[in-house]
Amino acid sequence: MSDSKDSRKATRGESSSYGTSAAGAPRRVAGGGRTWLGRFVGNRVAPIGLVIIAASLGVALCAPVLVPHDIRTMHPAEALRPPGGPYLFGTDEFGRDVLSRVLMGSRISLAVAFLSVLTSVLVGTTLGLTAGFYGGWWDAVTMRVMDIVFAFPAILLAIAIMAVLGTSVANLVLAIGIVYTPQFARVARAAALTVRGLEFVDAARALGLGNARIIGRHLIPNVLAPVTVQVSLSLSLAVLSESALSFLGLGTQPPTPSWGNMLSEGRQFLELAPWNAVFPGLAIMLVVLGFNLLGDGLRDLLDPRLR
Amino acid sequence: MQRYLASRVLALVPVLCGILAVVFLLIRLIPGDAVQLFLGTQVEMTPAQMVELRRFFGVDKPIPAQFVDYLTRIVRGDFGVSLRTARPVLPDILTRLPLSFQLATLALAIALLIAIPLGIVSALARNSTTDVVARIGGLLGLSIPNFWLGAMLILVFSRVGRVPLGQYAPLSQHPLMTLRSLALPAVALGMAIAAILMRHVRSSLLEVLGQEYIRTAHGKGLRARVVMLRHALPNAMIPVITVLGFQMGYLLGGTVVIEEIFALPGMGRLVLQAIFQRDYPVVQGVVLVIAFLFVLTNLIVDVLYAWIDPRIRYG
Repeated sequence: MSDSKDSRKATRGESSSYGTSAAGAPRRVAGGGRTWLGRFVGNRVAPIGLVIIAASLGVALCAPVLVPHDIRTMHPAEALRPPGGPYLFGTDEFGRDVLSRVLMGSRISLAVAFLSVLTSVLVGTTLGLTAGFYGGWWDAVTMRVMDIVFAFPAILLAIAIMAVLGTSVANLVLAIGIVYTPQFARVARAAALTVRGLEFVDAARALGLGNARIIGRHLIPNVLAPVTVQVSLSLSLAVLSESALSFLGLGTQPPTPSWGNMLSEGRQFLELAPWNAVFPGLAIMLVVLGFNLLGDGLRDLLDPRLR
Repeated sequence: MQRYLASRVLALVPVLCGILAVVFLLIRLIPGDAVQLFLGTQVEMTPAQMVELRRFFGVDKPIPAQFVDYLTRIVRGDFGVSLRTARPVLPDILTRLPLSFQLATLALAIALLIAIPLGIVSALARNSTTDVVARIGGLLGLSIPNFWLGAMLILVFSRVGRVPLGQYAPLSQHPLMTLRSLALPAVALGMAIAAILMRHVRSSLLEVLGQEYIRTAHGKGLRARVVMLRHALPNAMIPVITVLGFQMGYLLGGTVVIEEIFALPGMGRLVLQAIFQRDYPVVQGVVLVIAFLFVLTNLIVDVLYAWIDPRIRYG
């Protein structure tokens, strides 16, 4: 604890004549409590991220109860009302409450993000772990396939997959899931490779443990940390991808509100009723920021190389 | 260097084949019959006519044979014919390529112009108010959806002046006009890259500034500016270049979304239009060209990296 504080103070003092005693390698520790939890709380960004994510999840789960207005009923007389009064975020061109739609929109955005990242984690980690552990032709084939998926710009591949499969929530999950699989495969493979050569794996084998047991007992715990960091960062990208696809008309279809398609509809009245485009965008930004803060914090916490 | 270059180019062959296979198979994933899809629901055909059409399109052969046909045509530069306009796909893509390419390049330039100075300031005044503000700005920049930023830029700038939406003059004819129509889209596209690069410039610079040769440079009486520009920054940029390679995909893919919001007639709008018209040869063509560009830019970044850092090419 004291050590990191001192080094921070030292670098601040030296900031005018930089470099002369920049405290060796960069240390990004913010608070160095002894326990895992202590470090987590001491690390200021991760808890903020966690709070944002927990709050968003809470909102998504309770949205049907929280919404002040029904999101489907149209009130032409109330169309394009500015924020204020009974409509905190204003109304859209059909007189629907923007706040209610933003709240309900969190459900599809977060559900797609979590399900698609779950797909990537399960497929990618399994492929990466087995590739790193077994090596040989399996490793070569798996990683070449991952390289090919990686050779496409992520959003372009998702657009192409949605274009051929058609727009449905399941396809959205599949498209985003495929796009982010290679990252998990690479992270898991790298972790498996470093662990595979270590003595405790040889010891486990000498004790007569089968491959499945070795992977389950010794490899998986060692890839958990890097995979967890990647999960948080991928979730932020998945939320962005879902909203981009829905914005382009290739994701969630109206009248189901998602932040992306709300932005796309709101864009048509950008000058007249900017609140229709502003609030869904702010919602996306907040959730993505939450995942980024959490991911950054977790990386500082779990990745000893950066500490 | 030449050996390194040759090995890098050779390593691309399987990746390029893989890309072609994915783009080829993508269309085979469409539910339903390709010929029927082309005809639409209005046209009635006798079974004999359908067989004839299938032979005409070459879809009566087994899939591997179709793939070989496809490869042969692509190598010859034949990307197929648009189902809507009956024009060859490739020339249409190539006329729209410059806009998308210029947009991505300008976005990258803006990102670098923001990221490098901010990263330097942030690293020098570590944990100062400036640093904290820059890092929060970096996180925000990373979290803003680029299409929303685009919409907000249109909103703000249309209040103070005129935003040229949907106008584009080729660079060769009217460079100033090109710049004017691409400036806001490039800012919207480049912001996230600026944020990512700034974070990497900062952390990489912090690591370099702690090295002994920097202390030596200071010790022999060099001015701070010289130490930064000659000794610290070039070394700190090496890992940043790798990150840059990864971000090329974001830039190229992002043009699709950004062109849509600014109504720019680039490859992105072409592919979206084609998707909604079910004009699959055009979709295939654009995806292929963008993927090729991504591979090519990555190759350039790799070579640049090896050129700057000899440890890579001899490693």
